[in-house]
Amino acid sequence: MVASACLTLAGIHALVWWRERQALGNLWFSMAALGTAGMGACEYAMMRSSSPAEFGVALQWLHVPAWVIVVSLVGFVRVFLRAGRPSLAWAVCGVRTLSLGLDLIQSPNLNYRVITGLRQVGFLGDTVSIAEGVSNPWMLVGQLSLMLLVVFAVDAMVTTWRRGERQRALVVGGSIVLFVTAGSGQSVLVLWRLVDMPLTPSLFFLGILVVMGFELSRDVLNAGRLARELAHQRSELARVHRASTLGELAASLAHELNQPLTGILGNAQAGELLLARPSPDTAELRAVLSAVIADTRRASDIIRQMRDFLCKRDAPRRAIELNALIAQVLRLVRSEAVLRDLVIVAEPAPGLPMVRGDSVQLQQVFLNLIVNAQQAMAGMPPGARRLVIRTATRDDGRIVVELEDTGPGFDAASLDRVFEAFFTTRPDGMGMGLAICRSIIESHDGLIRVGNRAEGGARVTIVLPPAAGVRSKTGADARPGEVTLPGTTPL
Amino acid sequence: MPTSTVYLIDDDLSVRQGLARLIRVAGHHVVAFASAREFLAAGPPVGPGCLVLDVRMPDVSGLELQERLAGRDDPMPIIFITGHGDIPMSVRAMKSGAVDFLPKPVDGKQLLAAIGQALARDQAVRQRRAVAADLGRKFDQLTVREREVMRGVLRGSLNKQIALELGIAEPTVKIHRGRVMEKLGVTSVADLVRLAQRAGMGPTGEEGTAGGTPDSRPPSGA
Repeated sequence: MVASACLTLAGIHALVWWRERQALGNLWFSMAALGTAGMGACEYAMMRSSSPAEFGVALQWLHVPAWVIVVSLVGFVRVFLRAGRPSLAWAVCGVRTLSLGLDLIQSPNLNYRVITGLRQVGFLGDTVSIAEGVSNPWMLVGQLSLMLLVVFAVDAMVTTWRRGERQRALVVGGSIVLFVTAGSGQSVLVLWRLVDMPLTPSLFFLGILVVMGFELSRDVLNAGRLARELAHQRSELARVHRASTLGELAASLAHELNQPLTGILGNAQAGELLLARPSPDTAELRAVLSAVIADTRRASDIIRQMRDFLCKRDAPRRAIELNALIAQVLRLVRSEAVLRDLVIVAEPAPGLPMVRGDSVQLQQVFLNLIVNAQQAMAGMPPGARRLVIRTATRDDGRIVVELEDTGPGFDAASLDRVFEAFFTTRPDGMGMGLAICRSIIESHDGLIRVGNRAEGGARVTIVLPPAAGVRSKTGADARPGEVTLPGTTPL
Repeated sequence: MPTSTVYLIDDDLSVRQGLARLIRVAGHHVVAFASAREFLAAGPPVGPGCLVLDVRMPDVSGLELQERLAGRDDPMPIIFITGHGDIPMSVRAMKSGAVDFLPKPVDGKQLLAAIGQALARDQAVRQRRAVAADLGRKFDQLTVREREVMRGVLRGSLNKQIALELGIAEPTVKIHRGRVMEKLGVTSVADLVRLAQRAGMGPTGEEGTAGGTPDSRPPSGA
């Protein structure tokens, strides 16, 4: 029974280690479990033995799995707790090896000088054999190794406790101390004939295994929780970033809303004047009301767009037409760009393949890059502020988006740090923009690069893989050449 | 008097539709444009009118248009509207001679009042200019000698003194003087002086700029 439990545990954890070779803790654990299984088998043989010789041999062989267990426990503690003095570890293993050696060369075994006979006793509702004989003083070597193991475990426990991993220290260290001491105690009691029961060290080791197994699985559970927390925090950070970008867009929002509001007010006041006439023109009044309704809808669309942009809800991944997405972002920044005297030129490539991704996140990337360009060019004389956004398909099928501005460009000295979190060259900057952009682009299996143009100014290059199995719908009607924004007609 | 036209320039459709309707229902003739370029392309406006103009527009902004128009012969009064609400801009616009500067959403009453003011101003300017042009023509009809006599009269000289200066007889001076009065349509020296002032002449008869009165020219500097 013990054996089958141990074999199962051993099997599971061996599999875990096989999947991830880094998890040596699992390897040591499964070896310890195997050892315990072997020990159980020997104990069983002992309990079922019909002659002293059989018993002696079984007990002799028991020391082999015992050695495996001790060494595995040492290994587990070293790898899993990352603690325990190496000197002690070697001492434990050394002494245990010595005791194994002594066990194998002696007859019948390490524990008995001579086994005189067998006795049957009751144990757990069954009749089993226990030995009678003279105990072997060399067995103290074995006991010494176990004591050293306990000392080693305590040392590791203290180190781990001091490190702050209190629960783990207590559980792993404590279980080793407890069970090994108990097991040793049982052996001593049995061998010195103070109690009448079979030797069952494997039960104690099973106890250790159960505890350790529990600790190992806690890691797995934690990993899942940590991954979820990380995803949640990323999402929060992106939202905060969007909010601060909105701060920069506040002027744009106000301006955008003022347009339909002006239309509404003008129409409504015209309506008042119409009604003041002796015979009001109802056709004209109807036109007034339709215009008011249309403008109100337009205003609420603007608000909804802004709110969608801010909202935490990330859209699911779907096929996106990049040129249209960029155009949408440009509409958002248009009034702000006009305010800052910035000319933005879009050069969308016709027949651009679609990209699979999250449209809200990608919009955020482009918005951030445009705002960065705007701020970089703030010091340039008016008329010298120009941003070109170009899309193209590479030979390997991937999609390239380039943003080139006429600003001062990136500082060459800090060029390799621009993507670092919290790195910023602006006194009011948070430094998260490019880090978040890179995170988003990389999660879309793309890459983002920055550099300076030969003619001066910065260039940001984004490469994205095309969505598999989706054909571009706008190949026919995308306009080649320049489309100038802001402005309603191309120049 | 020809009807005035309100020229409305804003790049946003809602704004154009709403304000155009308001201005039209209030009784004015209104023409709307989506950009300054379109307005300029339509050629110089004929007849009296005023401009309602968004300050910042893509391409040619409202202020730029104001500057361009200022160089022309008959700049129309301008009312600025804006969605941005920035004060330095409004100060600058008002200093360049705008009639008013209104934030969006534009209050209809304020807009119509400003339009009324602007159109009245434009009418007055045109009238003065017409009168001055008319006067200018009249003065052009004077002969050289008549002009000399007139200058003498404006200086306050007696006929005798004028005769002495010009080297002609006093009765001749009197004849010329009579013809000047007749051609210019005045009956007294005081009227003559006033007329000369209106025509932009200085106190001693020197000519002002042809066809211009001081208040029809925009103040220099934007």
